[in-house]
Amino acid sequence: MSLVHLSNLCAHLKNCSHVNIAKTSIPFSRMHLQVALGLYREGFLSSVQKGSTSGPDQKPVDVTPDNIATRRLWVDLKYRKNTPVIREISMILRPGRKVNMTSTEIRALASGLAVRFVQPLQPAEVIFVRTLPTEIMEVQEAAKKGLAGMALCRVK
Amino acid sequence: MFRPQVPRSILSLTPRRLLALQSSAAEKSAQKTAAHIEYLLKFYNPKLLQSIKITESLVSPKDYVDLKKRGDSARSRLAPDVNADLSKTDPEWDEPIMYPNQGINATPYPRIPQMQALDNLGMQLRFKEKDAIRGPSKRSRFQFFEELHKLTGMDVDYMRLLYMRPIHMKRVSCQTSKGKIPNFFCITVVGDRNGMLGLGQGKSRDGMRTALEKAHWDAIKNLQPIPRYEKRTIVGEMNYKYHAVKLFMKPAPPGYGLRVNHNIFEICQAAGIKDLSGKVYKSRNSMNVIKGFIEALTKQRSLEDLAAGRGKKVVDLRKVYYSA
Repeated sequence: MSLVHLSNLCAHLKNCSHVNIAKTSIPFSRMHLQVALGLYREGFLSSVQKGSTSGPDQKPVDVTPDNIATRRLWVDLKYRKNTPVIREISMILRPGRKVNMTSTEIRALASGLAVRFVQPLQPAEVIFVRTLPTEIMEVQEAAKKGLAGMALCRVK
Repeated sequence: MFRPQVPRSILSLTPRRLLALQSSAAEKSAQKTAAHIEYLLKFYNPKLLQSIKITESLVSPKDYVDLKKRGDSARSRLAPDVNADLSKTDPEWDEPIMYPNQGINATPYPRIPQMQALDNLGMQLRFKEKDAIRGPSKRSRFQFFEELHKLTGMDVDYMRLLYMRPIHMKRVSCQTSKGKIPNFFCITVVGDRNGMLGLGQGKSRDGMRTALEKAHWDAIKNLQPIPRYEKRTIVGEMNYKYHAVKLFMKPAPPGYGLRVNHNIFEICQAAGIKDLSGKVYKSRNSMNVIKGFIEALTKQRSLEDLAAGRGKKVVDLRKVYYSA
């Protein structure tokens, strides 16, 4: 899990949204896949597909050490009434300022309260939290399960 | 011209002496008619003269006598005299000259100059409403809304009952070679207190009243709907920058009230926003705060739009929980 990669992901999706790009590719890793699926479940992306650097795979392809370098995730962006659905996507934490929240704090955040320097949730906003080193989920899910975690990024 | 013949009824009632006089009168009239016919024959041929006689016989003597009795006022107007001097107009007898583009209620009479002297000391001559001299852009209240109705198609009563507030008024001046020329500027906000909001600007050199009227007109023209959450507050937080004005507005729970900048307060009153909290940072220039807030309000995305974009359904939990 790398902050740099997540920041790049946020910046890339933001840049693509601004120029109305329909399909874009992001690196294929566990973190990227979890974030992409999270965004898809929340309705910010219209599709998530496995693929290579040239394009999404028409048929399922196994990932092997031979083709790992060329593997990419292809993601379809959504637009409505000439505006992107992903209006804002930004990082909450910085390398110099990380916030590890307890389950109570996560529940407070999910309820719309401000927690430390994290601004409260806005209407139609989503915050991704890392509950386990290998698990990224939405703040509402984490609150339901009563988990603690680190808030990563917010999408509006 | 033919004189009417003496009627028989008069002849029967009069005594002999009068009859004699009458007969001489009849003779005289006959002589006169003969002389007149001779005169006419100089200008008209016999056939035309015949038609003239026929037309004149159609006029009854009674009508002719009535016309004579009524005098000059009953006569039809003739074409003006070619040799008349039109450079001078008599203010009493002549109709005043109508200049174009003077406005609807403008009278052609010159304005009485309002000069401040030691003897009048700023006292103004006041006339009755209908005799008052009106400026070019001044309309009556009725005309104002009627014209707006023609322009926009909105109901006159609806426009008349809108909440209108001139939030910002100032006097600006332009420096020219002839000196400082003052100009009056006004920003007016108009709303139906239920989601419709309009902002208008008006400027005039005549005075603040004209500027106010122009601003009111402009505001009604710019009426537009704005999204509200639960019809009482804004949808989500607002972090908006307009020029040097930084707006930080937060929605508030019901009953909170409008704890905001005084300009924003007036706009919320017009729009029907009842609860709001927020602060204006950096510049608090009235004009820019007003314009910035209205821009931010119109750029809000309603919950339905946001939900539709993400493909989610918005459910009012309170309604669902408490419904039967």
